[in-house]
Amino acid sequence: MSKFRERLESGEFLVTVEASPPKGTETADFLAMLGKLAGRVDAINLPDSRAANIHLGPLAASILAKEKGLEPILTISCRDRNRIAISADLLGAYVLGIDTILCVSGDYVSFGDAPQAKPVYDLDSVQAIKMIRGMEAGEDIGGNVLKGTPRFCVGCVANPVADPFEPHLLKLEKKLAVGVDFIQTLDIYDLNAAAPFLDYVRDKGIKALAGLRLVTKRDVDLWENRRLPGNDIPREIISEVKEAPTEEEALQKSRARLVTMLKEIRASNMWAGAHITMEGHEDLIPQILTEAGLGR
Amino acid sequence: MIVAKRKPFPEIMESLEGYDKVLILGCGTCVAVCLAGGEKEVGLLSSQLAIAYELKEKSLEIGEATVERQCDREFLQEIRHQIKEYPVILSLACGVGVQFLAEAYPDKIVLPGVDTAFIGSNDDVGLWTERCRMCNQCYLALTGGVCPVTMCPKGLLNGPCSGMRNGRCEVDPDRTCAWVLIYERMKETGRLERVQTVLPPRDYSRSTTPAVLTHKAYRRRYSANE
Repeated sequence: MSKFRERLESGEFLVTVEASPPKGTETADFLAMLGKLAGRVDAINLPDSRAANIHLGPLAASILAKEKGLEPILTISCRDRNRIAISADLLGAYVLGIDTILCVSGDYVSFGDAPQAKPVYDLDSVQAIKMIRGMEAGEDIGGNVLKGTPRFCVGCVANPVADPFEPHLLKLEKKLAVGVDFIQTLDIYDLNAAAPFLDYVRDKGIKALAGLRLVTKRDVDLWENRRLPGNDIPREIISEVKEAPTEEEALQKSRARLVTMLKEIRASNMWAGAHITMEGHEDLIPQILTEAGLGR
Repeated sequence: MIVAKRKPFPEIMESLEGYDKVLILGCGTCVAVCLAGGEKEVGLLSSQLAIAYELKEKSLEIGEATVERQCDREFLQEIRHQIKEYPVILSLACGVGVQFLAEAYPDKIVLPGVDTAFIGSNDDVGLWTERCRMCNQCYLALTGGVCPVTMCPKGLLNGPCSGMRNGRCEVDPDRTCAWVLIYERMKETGRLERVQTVLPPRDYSRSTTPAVLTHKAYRRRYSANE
């Protein structure tokens, strides 16, 4: 059984962290970061060339994370691979002991390093999740029998503050119908706005981890250049980051906000956990968790 | 209709390098409507080339002709006498016309003068928008007359991606998300339950190129095994 599934079933408040694998083959910093997070978080998400920026692949990064004692959540993106390649990767991941998956459609190629690339999207995330469930039942997507079947803990992405919400919910309903085990949300900045989403997930009995971002100057720059997919960073946060006299002060303010939100999320008892992104500052996570009363 | 745009002039100049006699051949149907390759555009390109060669003090003998459709053998026959005089044909037809022309006159050097862009509608004067990717499995009955394959850059069949923001597309924020449009149309027409069904992955074997379509009444004639 997937260790992350066990953690989900424990009912404890979970913390997952999203960390981009290195861009290149120098893994020393990445490995050091993994070392710092080991034992401090429940799982680490390894994105698949997030925002279409080319990075070391998530399967290799998942194995590195596992070797460092972390539970990896492997991103399966539909952007760059067709159903054959995704199936092959899934089988490969499983035999290498990677059995927790986050299935996403994938940020469009235009955000990233190679906007001229062919966008694949042979499957959408709903179809990919359905395919994974089919593989677990013993058949590939062509209906052919698999010799030995994988068993995954499968997550999907949702946006609690999607506007309009109904079309987004239509897609989320389908993901739940084909079978997901957990949700990790996009970064949210206004927890109150997530109330309808929380009502929905409670009704459905699905566990959701709230997406939180440590907003850095780099994030704001990317956002302003339309290279950061996801929810709007609120204007007041953008001003705060931009107007801070030093980058360090901006970081302190963002960090304080993150701690406050973590405490609120934990206290609300509505969320299964938090899913934190802090690009390039992952080493701060143990300290932030301690400040939020979530230290281990 | 097929929508095309004329190739950049420097690219056309480069493709004509080394030749001294060319027939610019327009097409009177789709590319004429989208102001890229009809009779008028043949005249314009001819003048532009004449001026450019004059300025370079080089010579290029230019002929002009336009047929009703370059994708139809019958119309290509019309130019069989005129074409004899020219070793090079610069076709302003879509990619279909260019290929058909090259096939019909294998001894000629056939060059494209336009880039074929998409199948679209004529929204207004001088404005065309893509509406169909020719996926050979039309979903429009299920999606309120809005094509998810074409109008969603990711071609998602089961709802919007999480990149949809304020009802806008992740790829082009000036555009309404296709799935927001689909949802609204289906809701307005009381057919929401139809989009709640999980659509299976597309069958790309139906889009294997090059496609051939034989009308059922003509199968014996073409020995087609459809």
